[in-house]
Amino acid sequence: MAIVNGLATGVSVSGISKSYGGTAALVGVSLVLEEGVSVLLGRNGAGKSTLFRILAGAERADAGVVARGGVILDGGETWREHRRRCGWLPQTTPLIRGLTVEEFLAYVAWLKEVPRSVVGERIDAVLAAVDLVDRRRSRMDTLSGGMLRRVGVAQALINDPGLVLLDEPSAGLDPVQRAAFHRFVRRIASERMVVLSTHLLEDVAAVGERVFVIDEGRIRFAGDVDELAVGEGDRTERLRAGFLSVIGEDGA
Amino acid sequence: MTAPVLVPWRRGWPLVVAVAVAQTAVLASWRTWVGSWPQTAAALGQVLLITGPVAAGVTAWVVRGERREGVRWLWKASSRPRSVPAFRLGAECALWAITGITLGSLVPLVWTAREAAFGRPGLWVWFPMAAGVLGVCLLGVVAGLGFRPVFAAAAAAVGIYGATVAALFIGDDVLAALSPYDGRTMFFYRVPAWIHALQGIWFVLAAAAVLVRFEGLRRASGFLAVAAGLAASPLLLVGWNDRRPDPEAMRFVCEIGPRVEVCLPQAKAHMLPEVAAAVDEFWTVADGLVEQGIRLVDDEAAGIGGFDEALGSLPEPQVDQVMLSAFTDLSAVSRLDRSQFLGDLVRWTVGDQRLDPTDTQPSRLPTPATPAHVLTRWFYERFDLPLDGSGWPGAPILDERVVDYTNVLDELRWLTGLSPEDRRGWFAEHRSQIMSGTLTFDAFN
Repeated sequence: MAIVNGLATGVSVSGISKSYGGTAALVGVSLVLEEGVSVLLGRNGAGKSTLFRILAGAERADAGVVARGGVILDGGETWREHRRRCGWLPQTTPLIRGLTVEEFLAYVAWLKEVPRSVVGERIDAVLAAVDLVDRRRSRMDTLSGGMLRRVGVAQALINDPGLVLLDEPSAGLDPVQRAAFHRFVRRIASERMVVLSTHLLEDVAAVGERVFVIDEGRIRFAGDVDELAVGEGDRTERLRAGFLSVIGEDGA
Repeated sequence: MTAPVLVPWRRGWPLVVAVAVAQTAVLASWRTWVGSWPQTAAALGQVLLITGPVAAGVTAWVVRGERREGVRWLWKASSRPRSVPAFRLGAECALWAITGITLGSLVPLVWTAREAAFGRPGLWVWFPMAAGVLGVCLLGVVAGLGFRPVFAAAAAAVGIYGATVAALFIGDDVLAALSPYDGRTMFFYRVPAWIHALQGIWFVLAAAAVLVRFEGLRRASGFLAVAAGLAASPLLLVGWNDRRPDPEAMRFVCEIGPRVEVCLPQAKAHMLPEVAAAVDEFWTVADGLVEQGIRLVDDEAAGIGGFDEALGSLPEPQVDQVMLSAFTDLSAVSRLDRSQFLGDLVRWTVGDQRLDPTDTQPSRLPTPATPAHVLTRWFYERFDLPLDGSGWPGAPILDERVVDYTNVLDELRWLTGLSPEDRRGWFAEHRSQIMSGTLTFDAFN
């Protein structure tokens, strides 16, 4: 294990690159994630999900390093420990037809090596957090899209992770659910790092503290949300103007 | 707390049903196992040829569903060692498949328990069977992850079936040494437990090697492959000679009837009542034609170490002793085919000449009936055996399509009209001509 000077806390990535069949998905991406809500903002195909897969330990980068708590994740055991303390909601909600919500969460808890003695209370806690207690014994394939997304969020929290990666978590939620979701994210972010990937500026405005704009596999902006907001209008409008300016789509 | 089961009953039941139905259907079509424990065990091992591909196919079908629904990403983000989630899914599917095999085995086991007169259930065969199912389910996982979802199940099933058939074609002795799939007769043999154990172990190790290699773990895969090779080596060294003769199974059990004494080895003693009944039925009809007081001995085990001792332990025969192989073949069957047995007895007594004209003169059909045809037809009618060749595999065709009986109807009527006493006398008078095939129509009056 190696120690990265100056990275005592949080998760950082440095010089991450990833290609698929010669097409670059990420090019030299570097960023630092800290407690609170960070938002990865970008167009479809910008590289958000690829970066999340690498952060979640589900895929290896072609180049670059990921560090957590100042420790470079450079071997099986460091990655394994990182995965144990990381929760991830992929862009497509994982679904196991025929399993109940409770069974699915228990299975994910097993994948994350949550001690058996606490799995029951973790399931209780995450179901309460996503307001699905009454759906505990429902089969996953009977849930609506919005409920399924909440189950996806619940599984990302089952191991009480220090880092939560939510890839477009508000997709499929109606406005009421989205408002509740924003409150939920603010709540869980009080004690852990939460990273949201989205292309919805409404999400950034509602919950974002820091924002990383990614485009064509490169980080184009990194800073506080308010630093991205430019021009006039409400916060969402100003963020939109800033975002378009950063990615060069402001008509300039 | 909810057990973290990925394939609970409500998802696993298709696997149970598919395997159980396949197993039951295949075993029901075989006649080789009823009443014999070693044969039942061998049949259960052989049926893996069908249940293995079914289990692999259904497993691949389950896995391709998980893959399509994004569960594969959860596996990749798991803190468990990389291949453990896949291995676990394979193991859970295997548990259901083994449940199906167990259910599918209940009927043959209960049936054999009811009928067997010798031996005991070969429980060790369950180990390589269960291990084989686990192995094919792991390969099913690989197929489910590696092939396009629409092809995964078919690829797994066809792949496993094709590989087994190819192994059979290339070297059935190697397949028999390495797996519980063994087409040899097992009446007079035992397979040592260590062979069953190694058959299960090497295959699971080999399948696990394929799985972890698929997951990108080269070193672990290599280690498992070497371990599989080491486990398989003793089996390959022993090879075709992995069975041990069982002298107890060869010991004779006899039934002394009013006309004939029938002796079968203990391993087939459950067939004794039906063989003795068929023999008595024939001797009653053929009264006078064949000698009374004969001893028929099943010599299927001839050539196996211990057979001569078993034969020598029979009381010195006071009458002629005839080996069953002189006129019929009861090897590798555990149920008597009455029709075939009686047909073979008729052919043995009526003469050795070829009765089936299609064998010799296909261009001149129907051929005129010979005295042997008259006698054979008469016997067949008495035993209610079909003349059209449909009675058993290899039965001669003796109906009007190939034999012209129009000129011998008087002889047939005459023979049928004889009283039992007169027929006994006629048979006794012409015995040597009948049995040598030299009988002429002059004898029918």
